[in-house]
Amino acid sequence: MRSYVVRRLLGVIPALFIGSILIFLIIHLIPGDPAVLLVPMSPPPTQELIAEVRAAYGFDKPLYEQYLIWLGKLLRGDLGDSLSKPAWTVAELITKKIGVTLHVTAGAFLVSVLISLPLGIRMGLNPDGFLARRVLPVYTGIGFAIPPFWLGILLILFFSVFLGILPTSGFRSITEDPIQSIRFLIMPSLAGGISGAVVYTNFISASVSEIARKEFILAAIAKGLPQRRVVYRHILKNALIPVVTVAALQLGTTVGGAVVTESVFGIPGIGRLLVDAITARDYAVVQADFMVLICAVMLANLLADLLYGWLDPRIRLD
Amino acid sequence: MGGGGNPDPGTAVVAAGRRVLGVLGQTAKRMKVAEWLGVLVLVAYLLMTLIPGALATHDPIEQDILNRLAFPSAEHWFGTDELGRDLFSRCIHGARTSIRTAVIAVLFSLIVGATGGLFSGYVGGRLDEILARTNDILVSFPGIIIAMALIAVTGRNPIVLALVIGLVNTPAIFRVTRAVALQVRVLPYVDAARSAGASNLYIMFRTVLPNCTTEMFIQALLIATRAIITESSLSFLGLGIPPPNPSWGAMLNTGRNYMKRMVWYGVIPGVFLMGLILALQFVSRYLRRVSRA
Repeated sequence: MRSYVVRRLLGVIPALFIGSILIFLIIHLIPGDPAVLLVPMSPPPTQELIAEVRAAYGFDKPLYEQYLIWLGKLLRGDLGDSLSKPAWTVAELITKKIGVTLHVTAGAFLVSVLISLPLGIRMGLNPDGFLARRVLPVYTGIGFAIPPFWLGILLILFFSVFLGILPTSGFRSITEDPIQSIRFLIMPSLAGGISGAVVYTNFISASVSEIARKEFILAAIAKGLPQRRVVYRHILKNALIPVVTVAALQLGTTVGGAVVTESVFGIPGIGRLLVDAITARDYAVVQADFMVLICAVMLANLLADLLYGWLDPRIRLD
Repeated sequence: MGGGGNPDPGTAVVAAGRRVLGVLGQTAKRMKVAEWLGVLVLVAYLLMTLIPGALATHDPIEQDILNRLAFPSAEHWFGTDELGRDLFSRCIHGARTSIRTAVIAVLFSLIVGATGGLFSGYVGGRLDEILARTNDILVSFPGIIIAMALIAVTGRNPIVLALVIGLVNTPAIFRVTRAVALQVRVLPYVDAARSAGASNLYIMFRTVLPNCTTEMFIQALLIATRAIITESSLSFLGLGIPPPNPSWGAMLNTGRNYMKRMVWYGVIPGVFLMGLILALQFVSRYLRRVSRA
């Protein structure tokens, strides 16, 4: 197991390196001179002043040199200064927002699991029943067809405008004020979690119904084991192996979804920061934000690999 | 007919027509009600795309500032937006934006993905290994984030947006065609084609590619739905279709601000959006069912 973990961990490094180069290149191809954006507009800036700013920020150096400087700082945790929010360093901005986005993704993931696990098990145990044959296709179809941001709008319409029981937008940290925090998170979690729930439900029910047909399950039932024990200890334990991998991979998609959900519900997280930074052409923030998102996706993939290896010993060997 | 004689062009056309009708009739008989409905709705959307002017009641970008945020009336069926533009007409014209994006995205990913996948799978070896690894990494990234990075560079342009969305979805096609190419290249009829003197390019595109068409078609429909959702999400974020072009996502973004006054503004564009995606889903479900049978 240890060599498997080490191999997987080492595999991440080149991917992150390539990712950092790509992000750097992409961002530096953005049209427009960042130095011009940094100079105060009144009185009208002179060419000398712009050149001075360009030199101060290193925009005049060749690209590879700028990249190496950026990478060096990145590794030391120095992400530079935000161009659009001068009061903050990028590192401060990012760390402040990561916690917020963790709330949103954790909420969405929780919703996905809470919906899909009971539903998927029921459908899987009874693949010819009403739920699996009639409800699942409709639920899957609608779940895939509703864009998360529109679902968010509909939720606001129902819970905030119509019923008036949940706040439309905003955020509180769970440690600061748990009850308010949950009130703010209910709708974003639902909007972000439904699409994941649909994916998981389909996987769980397929996997459960496949395992339930195996001979060792028949043997367990024939032995006279109580049904509860057969379902949880014999079927689920085996059926969840592929599901765990899918779930960890889906985490990447949930991170992508956070970009949209945060905008719908006015949540000041990594996603909202990214959209604002792109609009304001704030190089330093955009780069750092993309790097954080890439790391998050890589981490989720790594987690999927490791979990798979841990749950299914056959995988470790190749 | 047939034989070596001189077939009468009239009867030939009639025969061809009968054959087409026959195939259509058979297809129709095998379809379920929901799938029929999907096709009908899809046709409606295609009409909105091809002849929006005939269906819309107003010019979608003509402003009437004195008559802004008007309630539904005989003149404006869905009311007007914050600039006094007719919402019904903007919803109709939004279909063209969505479908154009989807078509360009699908064509791009089909051409690039299928060429790459065929090449990689057919040639094999180290090149295949590198391409497949890269592809696996790309697949694991959420498309919308890559699209945002590229749009940050290219700016907001409808065609570029569609190409970017196509690029993001290319790995799916690559994967499918590569898998088929790997399976097929060792089969006897490929050897037969080679010994008959066919070039590698001919074998790739004329002998191997036809094996992937069904799966590619299913993937294409899937990419179309993803492209439509991505375009509307990006437009909703203000990073997609630039104003004043009508886009359902952008309309929803402004519409949600007026939800207390006019609920439908934040709802109806979403209904158009979801209707299109559901229709595509029903059609692709039919194709999947038939191709499996």
